[in-house]
Amino acid sequence: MQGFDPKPLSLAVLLAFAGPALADKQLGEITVNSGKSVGARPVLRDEIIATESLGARELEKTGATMLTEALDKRPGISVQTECSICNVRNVVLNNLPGRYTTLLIDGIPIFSSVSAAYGLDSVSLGGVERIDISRGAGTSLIAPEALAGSVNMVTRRPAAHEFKAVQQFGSYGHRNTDLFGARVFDGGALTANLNYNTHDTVDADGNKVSEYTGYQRKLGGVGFFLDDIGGFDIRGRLDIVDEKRMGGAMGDNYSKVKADETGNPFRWSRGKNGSPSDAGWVAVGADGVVGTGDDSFVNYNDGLGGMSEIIFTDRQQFVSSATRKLGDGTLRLAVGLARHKQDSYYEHSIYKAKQTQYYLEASTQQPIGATLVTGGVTYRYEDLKSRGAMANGTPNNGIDNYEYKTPGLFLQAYHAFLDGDVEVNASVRYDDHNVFGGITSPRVNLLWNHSHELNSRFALGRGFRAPTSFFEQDHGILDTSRIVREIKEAEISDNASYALSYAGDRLAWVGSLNYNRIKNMALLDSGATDPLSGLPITVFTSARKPVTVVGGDLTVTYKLTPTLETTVAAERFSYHFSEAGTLAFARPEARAYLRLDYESGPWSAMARGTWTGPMDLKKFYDYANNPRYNFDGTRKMDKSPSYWTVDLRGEYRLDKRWSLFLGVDNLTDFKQSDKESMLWVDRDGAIDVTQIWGPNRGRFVYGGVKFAL
Amino acid sequence: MPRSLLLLALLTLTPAVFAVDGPSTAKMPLDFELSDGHRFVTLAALPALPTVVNFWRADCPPCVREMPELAALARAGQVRVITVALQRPAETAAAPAAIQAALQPPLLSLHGPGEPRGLLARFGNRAGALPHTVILDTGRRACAQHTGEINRRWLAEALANCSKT
Repeated sequence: MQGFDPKPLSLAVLLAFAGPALADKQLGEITVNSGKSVGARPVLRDEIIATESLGARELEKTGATMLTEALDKRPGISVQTECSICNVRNVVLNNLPGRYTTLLIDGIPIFSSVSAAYGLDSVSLGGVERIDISRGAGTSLIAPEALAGSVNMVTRRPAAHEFKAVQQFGSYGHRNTDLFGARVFDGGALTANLNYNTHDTVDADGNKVSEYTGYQRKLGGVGFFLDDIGGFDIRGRLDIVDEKRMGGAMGDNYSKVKADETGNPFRWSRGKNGSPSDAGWVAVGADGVVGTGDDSFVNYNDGLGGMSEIIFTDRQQFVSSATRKLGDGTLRLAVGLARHKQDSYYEHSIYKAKQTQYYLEASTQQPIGATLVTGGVTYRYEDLKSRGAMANGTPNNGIDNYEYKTPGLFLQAYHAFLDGDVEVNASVRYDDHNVFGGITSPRVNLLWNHSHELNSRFALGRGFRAPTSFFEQDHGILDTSRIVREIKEAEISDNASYALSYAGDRLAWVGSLNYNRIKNMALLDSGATDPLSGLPITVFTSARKPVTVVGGDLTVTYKLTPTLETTVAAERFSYHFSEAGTLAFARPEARAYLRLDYESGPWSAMARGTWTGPMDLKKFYDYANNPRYNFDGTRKMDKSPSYWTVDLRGEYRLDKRWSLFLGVDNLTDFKQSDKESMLWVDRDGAIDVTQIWGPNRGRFVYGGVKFAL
Repeated sequence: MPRSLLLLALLTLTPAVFAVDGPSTAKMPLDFELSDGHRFVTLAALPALPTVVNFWRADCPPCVREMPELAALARAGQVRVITVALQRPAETAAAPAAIQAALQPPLLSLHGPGEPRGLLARFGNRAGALPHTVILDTGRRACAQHTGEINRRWLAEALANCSKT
């Protein structure tokens, strides 16, 4: 007999307790299924921490070409665009700011401030086995800064030679080419993937200022898997990113836009509540009311460059882990390296940043009696070095430089009670941060198996995060002479969550409740003035009062027929904050989801509708202290309208090698710009790009062909 | 906390309080309702026969290796053999031709639910490891099971033991 009878404790622990740090798909001759999603919606994995897994097939079915597209439109998970002319996109968990979501590649945290801003769009889906999403502080033993949760991309170890090519074409000049190849040899495998993805700038309201940022993205990567080198199972991947994007001005002639610094190439009268004249817009003055005596008109004269953001990204990243048997347990070593360069042009300002990150980990998991104990040490290094110049040419080199060194250690214990019906996992981390000092992060997780199908998961956890730079919160404020740092303490998050899940043969459902309270939330005041020089400065400080976000969601999936499955889900969140800028982007109080998945013979199809409820724009965007206006001087909406978006995708398998697919995103062509511009003007006539609550792109039709060998 | 959240909390907590399994489910008749791609198949509705139920995935090497053995057992006609793929049909269809051939009748090839945790736990595999094989007697009670790759000898011995019970 090959293989072995798995010990319930060790199997359960490898599945349930190790998390990304130690979970492994192969246990000798036994493949751990991990309960990973083979369905069409996020489902809980068999882990003590509630984890939703999206398998490769699910990623394909949504038509996603990048990580941010793959994760959007799911209960408790969404993607927030934070700038209408550069399209910074963050993954939002439990409706908390995107910087609190930590991205891990094969369990290794290797993204931070600058890299998370534009880098998330450049995470290739090539060779991915699944994406695991865990919501709540402390969900990751090795990433305490994940105050909202973590997203872990797990690379697939190929079992046979493979070649796969996908060519996709779409609206707005979209082209996406994916190539993936794998070569398997005795005791290992090598993989390679290439991706080329391009998309035009999109201007729906005709003012010649884009709402959707155009890009050209080239990604390449190689992976290796060595099954037994001195007893170690080693895997790793190297990824290279080269991306250029521009928004504001249309097209992709970057040098022309940068050189165009005077005149008015835009049409400010176009679009909803456009200005009375193409030449500029209305400033309502101190009384805040249009049509009264103190109105004035702002003539725009800054050329294409004055309204454009151009960002070039150059990134290399390497992650690798080695796992072997040690005594009755396992030993794991992991390393991550990343170099991220950004060369950016923000409305005449220049910002060039270099970020370096290292991650080292050594950990072991050992049974001690009936308890499984994991202990480990980590060392994290990250720095940021920037050079820049204000719009008037004044250098502001290094204004957001930082260097963080964080050695840490962690200890975790797992024990099953009542014949395995109750499993408890408790852990504590201690990190010695070179700026913020020693920080302790405890967490407790409990899994209660009420029956084979029904179980509860409770979690209490704390996480901390060292604020990195102002870039993470507002990259568009670079027209500042210096930054005054008044931050004394790290951001601290306390999280409590409960999830109840039922997994039947045709019916499955998951309900979860989440409570998040964040203290010392980092805040920016980019409107301050140096009392001595009179130059603009930025004050980087902490919120005085905590921010609390409470929410719940329920997802129900039912297999209507052998070929048709439906998913209905809803989420509701409430936000408690009193200081402007803490929750800097509007989030909805409610969202609902309806989805149908069809699969029969060579056909597969997906239809999903996503309803987004109103957002309290007045509160989130602090109209009380900083009212926002349209170009014609009218007030911005207090509350956004609710809206539906509908996405469809179908695929037909011609034979084992060839498939054709066709899809439509945003079928009903709902765009925010039809109701309200993403641009806004303050009382004094200054313009900004952050009035965002709805889709920035209309109907998007795409299709293509897949070839697999 | 808004009223809707409280309501959701009550809705989700209520079944948790009352739904606790008894200790003797292992000796209860087992059942499932799974798709063969055209219809739902209920185990209890099939004729009473000793049955081998095998859980597998096409990307699980030991699962694929043991599949011909299960196909041969099905063809021998002494017992019913059911395979449950914990994958989407399109993913299973990508398996090698030899596996596709093995999955033909008289072997009954089914697909598991999107979330297989409950099904696997019911069939004695709470940890979710694959491959997993369970032998049921004519009363659909589990009389032998193994997590990991099986072979002809194990099948023969397990079926012989089950026939005695």
